[in-house]
Formats: sequence, structure tokens, C-alpha cells
Amino acid sequence: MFGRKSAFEELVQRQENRVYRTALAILGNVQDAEDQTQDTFLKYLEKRPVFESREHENAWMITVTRNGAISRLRRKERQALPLEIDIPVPGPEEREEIEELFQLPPEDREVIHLHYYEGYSGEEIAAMTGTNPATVRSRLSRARKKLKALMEVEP
Amino acid sequence: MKTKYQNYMDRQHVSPELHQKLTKLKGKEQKTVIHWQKWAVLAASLILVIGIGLFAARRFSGVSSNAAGADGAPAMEFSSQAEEAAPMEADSAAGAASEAAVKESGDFQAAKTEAAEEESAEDVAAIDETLTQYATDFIGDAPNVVGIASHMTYPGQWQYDHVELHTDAPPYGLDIYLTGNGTQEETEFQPLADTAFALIGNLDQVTFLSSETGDEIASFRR
Repeated sequence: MFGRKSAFEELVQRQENRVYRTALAILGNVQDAEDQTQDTFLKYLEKRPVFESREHENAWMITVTRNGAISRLRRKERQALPLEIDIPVPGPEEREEIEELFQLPPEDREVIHLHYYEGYSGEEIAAMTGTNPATVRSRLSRARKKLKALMEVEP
Repeated sequence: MKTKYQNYMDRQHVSPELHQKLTKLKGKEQKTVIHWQKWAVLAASLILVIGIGLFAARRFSGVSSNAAGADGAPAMEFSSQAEEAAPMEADSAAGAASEAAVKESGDFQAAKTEAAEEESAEDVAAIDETLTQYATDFIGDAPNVVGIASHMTYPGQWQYDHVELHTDAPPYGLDIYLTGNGTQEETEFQPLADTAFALIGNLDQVTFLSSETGDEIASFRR
């Protein structure tokens, strides 16, 4: 009984970094990403969804995080609050590319993260974000051209 | 063999403090909303209403039989007025019967209204108690803030969906997202905002929004 993790603790362990990274990619701000991570797990506790598979669980966590992060950004825009970029400092060999990435609009960063980090296809991203697959493809293509060095596999 | 972006993101982890906060969330999950007091008040009210109903039914049936037997001797259980007027004509006895019936009916209605008011007052007290148990000094206390937002009664068809907390810098804000639709009148939301300000110590601003459209319904500053 003691030392054994509950199902919720296991879910936190499994999903916290995925949720946090997704929030950070979209929001570009550590504090906001941490707040959003908390909100996502609160949402889970409120809704108590039943997942059919691990992929379903991943997609649910990412979609809730994504929706929350976008709402957060819209609220800041409505209140005319500055969208401050405050990310963990990149290493010297990647600084330029990472800084360039976080200059892109949040919608582009979202697509880049979901494709290049989480490995979702253009169609899957379109379904998750409620956008047109063509829009997703054009965002990815723009990112590929602009951030070639960042998206290339390192030797 | 990873991209620079993957390498950068792989290095980003939640802080140990945030991990602690997340795992503690489970302690507050799924609070019981209905209390035994609420059930007790409901049962007592039900017994009272049934008792009044049975009493009134018995009295009404007595009144009917008296009214029907107006040409005979007046029944004893009729009313004190009728007893005193025993030598009265049958017509005047029937008139007194209907007068008493109206009086009884009025008493029954008053008792019923009183019971309903008592029940309603008890319900309000129970709801208030439900909310006050989540009272907190800080907007960052997410489980309690969610407890407050999710247990408030929203006007019209609005229903609680989720909240967003703004804890990084003042003004500390609470966004309450609602589903459905209903009134957009700010005055309807004022009591809810007052409740939120009363229960959350450092809350500066509360905003009600539609979760479907993201549009603001009403916003209040302390």
C-alpha cells in the first residue's frame, strides 16, 4: 500500500513533460506554461475521461493543453497585455535558431511542435486544432524553409 | 539522431515544485457536493408537507360531507361556528361550511408556502456552506478556486465549463468559462463576482466567458 503510486500520480508522471512542453512551445513563457500545465490536469480531474489507448490519452492531453494555451493568449490580447517570450536559455549552438523560432506566431509554433516533436501528421494536427489541413501544410512548409537548420537531423 | 529543436525540448522538464503541485491535486479531486444535512432538511420538509396534506384532506372530506348533508343534522366535527349555530336554518349552515372551507384552504396554502420558504432558505444555507468550504486566500490555490467556480449557480442556461487562473502578476485574475447560453446582463453576474471576491483573498478581477466562442460575457474588478 505504501509507496505505491495512484493512477493519477502515474498519469502526471507520464504526461507532465508532454503537457508542459506543448504549453511552452505555444505560449513561449515558462510561467504561463506552468499555469497551463496545472489547468490541464485540473481539467482532467473535472472531466475524468476514459481513454481507449495511450495514443488517445496523449491526444486528449495535448488538445486540452493547446485549447487552454490559445484561450490564454487570446485573453492577453484582449486585455492588451504584452506577450512576453521567456523561455529557458538555449545552448550556444542552437541559440540563434531557437530565438528565431520563438519570433514566429504561436499558431506556427504550435504546428511545428506537434509535427516535429510529437510526430503528428498534417491531417492529425488539422483535426486536433480544428484547422484546414492545407493551412497546416503551408505552416509546416514555411517553418521548414525558415528554420531549416533547426529542423534538420543532427549528425 | 535528433533535430536541434528536439534536443532543446527534451531538456525542458516541469520543475520539482510544479511536479509536487500536480501530484497534490489528487487530494482535492471529486469533493462530495451533497451533505447529509441537505438530505435531512429535504426529508423533514417532505414529512411536513405530507402531514399538512393528510390533515387538510381529512378536514376537506369533513367539510364536503357536511355541505352534502345540509338538509340533515349538522355534523359534529364541522366547526365551532357551526356548533354554536346548531339551531340555524340548513341554508345558513351550508354557508358557514363553505366559509370554513375557504378559511381551511387559506390556512393550508399559508402553511404550504411557509414550508416551501423554509425549504428554500435551508437550500441556500447548504449552497453557501458548499462554497465557503473552498474559501482561500490565494488565487493560485487552484483546487479551491475550481471548487468555488464549479459550485456557483449561474444565471439562465449558463453552466460551468472550466477556469483559467492568472497568478503570475497583479491584477490576479480568474476567468470562468461557461457553456450553453443565457443572459449577457452584467447585473446578473454581479452577485457571482461578489461571491468570488469574498471567497478568494487576493482575487483582483473575475471574468465570465463563453467557452464556445471565447467571448467575454461580463468582467468585474474588486
